[in-house]
Amino acid sequence: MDPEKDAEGPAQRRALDVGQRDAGYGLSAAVERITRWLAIVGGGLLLVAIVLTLVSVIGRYGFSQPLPGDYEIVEIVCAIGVFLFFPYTHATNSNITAEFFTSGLSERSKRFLDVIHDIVFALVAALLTWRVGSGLAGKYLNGETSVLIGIPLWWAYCFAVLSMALLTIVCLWRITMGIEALRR
Amino acid sequence: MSNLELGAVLFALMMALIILRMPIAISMFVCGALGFGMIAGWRPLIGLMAEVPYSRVANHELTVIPLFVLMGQLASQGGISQGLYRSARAWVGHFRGGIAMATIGGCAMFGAICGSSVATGATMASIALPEMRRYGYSGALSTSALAAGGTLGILIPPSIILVIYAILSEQSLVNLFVAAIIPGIIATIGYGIAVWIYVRISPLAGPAAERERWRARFASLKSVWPVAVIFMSVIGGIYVGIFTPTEGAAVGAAATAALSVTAGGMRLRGLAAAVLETAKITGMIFLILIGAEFYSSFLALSQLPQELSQWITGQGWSPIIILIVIIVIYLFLGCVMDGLAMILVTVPVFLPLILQLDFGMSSEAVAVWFGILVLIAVEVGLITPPIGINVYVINSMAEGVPITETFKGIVPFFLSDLVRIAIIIFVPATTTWLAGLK
Repeated sequence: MDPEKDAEGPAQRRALDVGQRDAGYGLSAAVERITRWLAIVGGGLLLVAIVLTLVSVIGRYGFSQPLPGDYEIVEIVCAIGVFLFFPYTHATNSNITAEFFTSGLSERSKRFLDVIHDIVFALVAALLTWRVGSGLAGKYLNGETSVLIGIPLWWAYCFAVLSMALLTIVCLWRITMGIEALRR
Repeated sequence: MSNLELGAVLFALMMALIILRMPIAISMFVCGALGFGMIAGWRPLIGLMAEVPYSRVANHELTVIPLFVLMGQLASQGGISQGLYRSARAWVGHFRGGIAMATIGGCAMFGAICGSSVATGATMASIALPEMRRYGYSGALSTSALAAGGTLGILIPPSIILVIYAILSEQSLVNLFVAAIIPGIIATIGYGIAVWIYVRISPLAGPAAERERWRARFASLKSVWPVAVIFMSVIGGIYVGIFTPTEGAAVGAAATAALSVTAGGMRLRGLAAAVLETAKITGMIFLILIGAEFYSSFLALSQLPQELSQWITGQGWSPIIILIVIIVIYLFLGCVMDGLAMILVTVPVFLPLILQLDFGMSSEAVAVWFGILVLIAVEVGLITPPIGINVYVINSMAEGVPITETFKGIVPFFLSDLVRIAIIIFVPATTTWLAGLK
């Protein structure tokens, strides 16, 4: 419930938790670390977008010299940032579900439902990885660029594909964790 | 099966998946994609899937979302709320119930730089709860004032929910933000009155604190004005057209970060916590937006909203009654569903209907007015049982207060919400006037 506790919970306790899941130790630690670092990089990109916007606003009013194509750069930088957030969101179980209706079920039944949902989620994420990947191939072949300053779009698409692929992996990781817990 | 029947069946399937706690983004995606494929063909669907994830995320109008979320998280991490609260307390703390009123005031001011309700309530709670306990306020009053006050975070602009509504309704974000200002003021006053009535009925719940000197009151304003300046320059700047909404959000986030570092002592650790929380929330919102794109493309193809609105307008019911029925539906949905999901699922169905009705205003004005009403319904959903998230978050921070006490304490605030909804329904100018719409 308390977001802060979640974000910076005692490192010691977390290390213990991870240590006890010996079967998934390597994978869990890797998923948690990689998704968190990508989220931080994504946040860094948001900060970059903020600085670019400020420079452009100051340039426009102070020196009547706006940054050319600021719109496009900010849009693309923020988009890449958001794509880097997706795996972290799911790895920290932050996607919204309506928990009210199933709140009466046992923990085991809830976990069972969650495994099924993660299987569907994995299929969707894999499907989108394939489709956005073909979108990437299309943008690469037709050389489409952003309108004003000609940033090649395939370049930004790479991050979309990366994000969907990692999201698929996070789903698979959650499935294995869920099944492991169901077996116990 | 006709497209209409397909629309109804898949809508029911989606609700079933949501009830079975499938993530809402995936429920919307699965049903939207199935329906779109069955009506328009699988090949167009495959093509749509290659484009939508990128085009939805890289959208200039949506760029404000991560920026406003970050701004709110920076404000939460930065300890800005403390000064706001102290000042409100210096001005009204000596009234009976005054410290709870100060809590409402602090939440309103914090809401002016934070677009999320849970963040507003939780941030304020860490300062206001100990203070109210110290003065012997009852657990019911102190937690419910915080839970209700927190909802001002999404009502007073910037508001993440309004950004989403602006996209769905194709309305100007500027108009929506400006339209929310007067309802935000009415809400703050209404909650103040709710506290006043509360302590009339049970005087022991909120004893008066000592009176502060005038000099101290004015001195306390020094921590309020930076926040006022940020709010005025962001919302005012967007309103008069100095910046675009994205630029306003970037300026606001930068100013909030600067204030958090200088006044609130935020360091790298706080910044990292703000960024990670922003990542969770933003990722969640955009994943839902991708799912919702498939769902709304399908809904439009199925003609379900148009047929529904034709049927209802053909019944000859009075527009205001239809509006009230829809708002009541929203109040019930808000009790069991997350606000963001509720808006994405229902606005594509209800808004075309509302726009068909004659309220004697331009369709732009009606869309903005309806948007504010829906926003308030979302707000109410944050404090009503069984899932009122604000109540649970605040209650979990207050030791020894049973959840039933907090829900009991919510009643006057809930009634104040209903009065506000009635005021806005019967006086649409409360929303449209400031935005210059007729």
